[in-house]
Amino acid sequence: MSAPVHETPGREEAGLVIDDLVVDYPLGRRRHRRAVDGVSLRVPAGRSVGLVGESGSGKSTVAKAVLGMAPIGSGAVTYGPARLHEAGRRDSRPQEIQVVFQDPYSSLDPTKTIGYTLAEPLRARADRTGTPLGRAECQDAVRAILDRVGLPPDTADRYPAQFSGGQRQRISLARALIVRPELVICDEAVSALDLSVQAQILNLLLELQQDLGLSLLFITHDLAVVHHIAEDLVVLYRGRVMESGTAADVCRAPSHPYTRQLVMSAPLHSVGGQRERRERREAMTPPPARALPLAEACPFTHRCPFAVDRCRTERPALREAPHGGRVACHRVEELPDWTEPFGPPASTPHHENGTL
Amino acid sequence: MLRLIGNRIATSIPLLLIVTLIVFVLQAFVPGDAARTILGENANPQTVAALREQLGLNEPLVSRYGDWLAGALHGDLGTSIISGVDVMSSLDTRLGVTLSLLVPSMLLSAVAGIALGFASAVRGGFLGRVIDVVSLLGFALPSFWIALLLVAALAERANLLPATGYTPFAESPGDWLRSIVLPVIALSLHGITAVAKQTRDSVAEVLEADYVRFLRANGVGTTSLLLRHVLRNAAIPVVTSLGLVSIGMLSGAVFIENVFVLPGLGTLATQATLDHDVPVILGVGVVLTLAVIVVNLLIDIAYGLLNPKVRAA
Amino acid sequence: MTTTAPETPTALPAAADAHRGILRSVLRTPRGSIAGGFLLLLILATLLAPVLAPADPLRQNLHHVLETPSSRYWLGTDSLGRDLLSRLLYGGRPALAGVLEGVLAQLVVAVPLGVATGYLGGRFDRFVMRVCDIVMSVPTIVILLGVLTIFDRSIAAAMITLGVLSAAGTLRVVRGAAMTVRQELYVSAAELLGLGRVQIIFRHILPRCRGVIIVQTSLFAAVAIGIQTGLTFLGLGPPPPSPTWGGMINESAVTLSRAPWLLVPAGGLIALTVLAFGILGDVVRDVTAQSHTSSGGLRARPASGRRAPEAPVEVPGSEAEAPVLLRVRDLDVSFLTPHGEREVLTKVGFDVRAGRTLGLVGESGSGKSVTARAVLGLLEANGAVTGGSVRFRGRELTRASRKELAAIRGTGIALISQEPMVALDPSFRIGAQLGEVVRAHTRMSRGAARRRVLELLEMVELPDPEEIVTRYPFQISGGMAQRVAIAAALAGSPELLIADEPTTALDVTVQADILALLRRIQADTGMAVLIVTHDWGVVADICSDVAVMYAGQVVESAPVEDVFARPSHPYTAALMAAGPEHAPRRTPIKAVEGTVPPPGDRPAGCRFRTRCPLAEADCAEQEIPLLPVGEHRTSRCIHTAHLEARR
Repeated sequence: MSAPVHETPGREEAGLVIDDLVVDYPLGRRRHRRAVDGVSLRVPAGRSVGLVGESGSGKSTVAKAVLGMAPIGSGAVTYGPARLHEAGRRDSRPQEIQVVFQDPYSSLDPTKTIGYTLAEPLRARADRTGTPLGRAECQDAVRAILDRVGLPPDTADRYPAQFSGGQRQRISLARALIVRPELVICDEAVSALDLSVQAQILNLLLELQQDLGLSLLFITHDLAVVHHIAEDLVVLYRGRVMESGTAADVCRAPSHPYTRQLVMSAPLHSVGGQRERRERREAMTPPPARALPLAEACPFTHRCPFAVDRCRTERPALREAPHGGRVACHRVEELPDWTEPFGPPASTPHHENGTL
Repeated sequence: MLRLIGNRIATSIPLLLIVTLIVFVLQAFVPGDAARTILGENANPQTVAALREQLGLNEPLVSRYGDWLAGALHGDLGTSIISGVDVMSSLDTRLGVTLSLLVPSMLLSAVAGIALGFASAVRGGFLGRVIDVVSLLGFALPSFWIALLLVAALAERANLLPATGYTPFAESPGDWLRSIVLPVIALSLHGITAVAKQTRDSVAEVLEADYVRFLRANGVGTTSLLLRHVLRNAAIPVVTSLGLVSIGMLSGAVFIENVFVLPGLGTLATQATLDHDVPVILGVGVVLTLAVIVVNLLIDIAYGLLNPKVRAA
Repeated sequence: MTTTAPETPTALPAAADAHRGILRSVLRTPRGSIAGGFLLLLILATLLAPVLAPADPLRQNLHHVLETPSSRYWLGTDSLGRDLLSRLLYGGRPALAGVLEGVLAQLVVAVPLGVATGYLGGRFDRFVMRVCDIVMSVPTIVILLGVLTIFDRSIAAAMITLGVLSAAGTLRVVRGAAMTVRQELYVSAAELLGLGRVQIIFRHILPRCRGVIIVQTSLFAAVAIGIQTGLTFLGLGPPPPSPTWGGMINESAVTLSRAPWLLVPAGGLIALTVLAFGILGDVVRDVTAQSHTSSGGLRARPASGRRAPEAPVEVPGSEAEAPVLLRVRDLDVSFLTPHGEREVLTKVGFDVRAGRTLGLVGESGSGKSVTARAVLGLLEANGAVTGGSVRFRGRELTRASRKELAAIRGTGIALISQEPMVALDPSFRIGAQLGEVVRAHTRMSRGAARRRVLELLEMVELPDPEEIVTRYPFQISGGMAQRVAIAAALAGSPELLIADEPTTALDVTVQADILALLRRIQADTGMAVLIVTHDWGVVADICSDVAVMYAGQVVESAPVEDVFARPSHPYTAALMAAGPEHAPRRTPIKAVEGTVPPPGDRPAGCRFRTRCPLAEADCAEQEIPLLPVGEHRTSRCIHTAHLEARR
């Protein structure tokens, strides 16, 4: 089960490795809900990996498990030599992993100045290691990181209420970056933002990733966003990996019926293109939902137009797909070939028109 | 729903134990204990010791509490150390008076409070401001002061109603009514304003709820919206405040009974306090705690009826 | 999933400066400064009673009994000829001391336990809550009387007991606040830094709970004054002749008929003190917390200084096309906010033709949802249409009476909204709610209404309608809830459906199903749709026409193909280019700088000029009107030629 998402020769042991992760949330006495059910993925150093799924897919729970905010039932989460699944809830986490959350309004303490919030990680580290932290050193670091995310130095003296959602997300990013992490987990980090602000933050993330050599684990429900920013892509459905591979392959030539439905459901920004996509979707829309599948079945059978008896009784393993990547489907070889237009239509030339 | 009620009754038992135990334990610290109170400051130590022995004050606290509890379970709450009267029977005669005061006050607070609050939330404007001012006064003025004012204005000046005293219902329903009008008004005013304020706030909140906008936008008429949807959804916090108001009224009744010299539990408890008469205090405590339990039970049932999540469970 | 930030100006994150000195913010309000000033004065006066009091509070003067105020006795005298003012001043000392004792006892118990239970949760929390339940059910007065029996009239002991008993309520409130803060992501961030629990409580949890603690404390102080005076009134406090406020009222009761004035000074002072504490609590709540309602409790509407509509810009287009169902012209909408009146919409205009679908597109702050609500006359209580016209089938709606509007809602124009889960009344079963909507349109028997409800549920393609009608809204999924909402909207067979971000809160596969459903219904019924959205994909999927909004104005109107092929306003072009679909993978997206300016901060002239790459000096000189661009299109830009040239 623990095959890498994407082979990067010589670097297998570096970076984040999640192996057969299971997370159960308790629901009252003796009952629980399995939020993550045997997920394996790998974020090699310097790479950006997208984790995409709908609500209830367990995508945010994976992030929480890595960060020690969700109970790991079984499986392993390692970062280099650090075995995160063995760390207790109160043990300190490796500071090489940082996180940016979805909600820009709840991510910053409204009673603290931005400068305080940004310096807090430095102070926490100084406390932990016992090295003294100079006031000037701290201020310099804050100013430098603000500059890095494109905010003026006087930001440090102001309070979160004075900033818009996009600016707050820049500040959250600055807080994550100030301790010079290697991996940043972005949990729906641009989902709450307006389109034009989302574009600004995506550009900043890409720039930072390239300049600082960061790895990204980018969690979102938005295929267009993840297609744009991620190199590798993992598709989750009801706690299980349905498909993984390079982002371009998964989005343009999806193998799994679920991924296909996901891609076809995301409307294109083009009247003609969307009409075609819609017609293809309607052609393969399955009969209305049946009862949810049992635990030992493919979780997508009730919505899958290709489901056969075997899908309802046997859980498909994640295996090599015929067209690259990996897929968890019994019938993948029998499915019709299928590609989707994704990203800018080839006919549209790209002008470099400054900011517009 | 039944589980909820069962749960509430189950937590009521520790409540009764705790209230009585607190009073019992505090008794252990008594500087002027009952024996000394009865015999006066100048009694000689031997007599005091003898009386202590007779009253059982030398027994360990736990065994005294156990004895009291065993008696209480058989309906015996002991006797007043001052008058020697059986506590149970004096509670019995006085309970009716206090209930005559409490029940109408609770009903009045509920009806008038909800009506006023609802009207002010829906109509706003002048009515809203009048209710604001009255609420402030109801909040700020102590009930015993209002009671005195009522006595001064309506009883002594205008001579419309009796200033003090109580006539049992069985004796003369008309006089009973006349004797409780002023106490009930004085006791309810605070409750009415508290319930009205809560009703107004929660109705105003529900009026801006998405589903009200949605139902209105799709043609549901104002009357049906207000009477079915708004009132129903605003009700839960109102019921909560009704519960708190009702429990608060138990305290208020003590003050009001004193102003109007009503022979109820409140005046009994006040006198017992001045006399260090612990058995009587305990008896009143048991009755008032039972009253709280009944109020909480009613509130729980109301929650159950109002909240479909509880009903559906 | 994603939801766009609310667009109403009042929904801006309030309490902007609340954390910077609650005291300062409170004193800046008139009510707060009066209440605070009064309490300060009262405390000083009682502390300085030996200096300030004109007479010994105990000295009797039987020649001057029951006097009304005079120059010698400012507040008169009591039945023993004692000076009332002096007695009030001295009586304030036990009263305020009692409050202080109670408050301290309450804080000591409630704050540490409340913050700890709220933040830590778990078994400890459940245990403390159980205890709280029990303590809150204790009849306070019994315990107080018990304490007074045993501690021999010690008001201090009674007030400390009162504080401890009342702590249960405060504890719950503080716990609630701490729990809310615990959910905030910055607390998670602090935990991830490896900060200890104690550090997190002191740095991040406690500061946010300050507001509720102060509110609770003031409210408790108000109650404590009432209880302290009540106990002294019953004679359970310091024995006479020492002055107490309650005792003074008790003394006045004896001579009530002869000297009613005696009731006034003590009663009045008690009332003022209670009021001051109560008002202080209210003010602190206002400055620290957001109001419950979206109108922020502001009911008054902005003055409707109706402007005469300008000569309407007719959108070119042959009248041979489908007739105009809804015509909005020069619509102005203002909201009354705590910072004054804010114009949210300025001269908004568009047409919805029969059977067609108009997309109202924009980012948060553009005013698109406000427009949708204004059309139906369903603005929040603090908003109002201040100018312009909304005509539905030729009938003016902005001046229509309640009754006329009610007749159009549901049968002429229906609505579905962004959050389907909150669009349904949580207290009623699906069947009951739909039945009510059905019967609001047509009088019919319950049986007939039930059949119609099942028919509507079939129409929105819900499996097993018989079963759905028996469920409560919390028992169905978001996608199902939106279908139920659509069924409710269809009940009156409306000619126009206003859909306010109908799929924003839904998963993308569910969104596709809902859009397909809307399209099918439209094909069957010929209903027109006005859809509010921020998603170009939704526009491409379902719209036939588009009106793009920016900062409270429509900046471009055009048929959908034209907008995608040749945007005629720089904002439209910029917003479209901002979609990651339009840039090659892992290259910078052409993002326009900045954000939509909020009402009150909009530039003069063209509102987009501060972010516009084509802006020139003349863009600031005048309000830009909607200008025709070729056939069927308008744009609020005077440099559309440049845009054309850059393409």
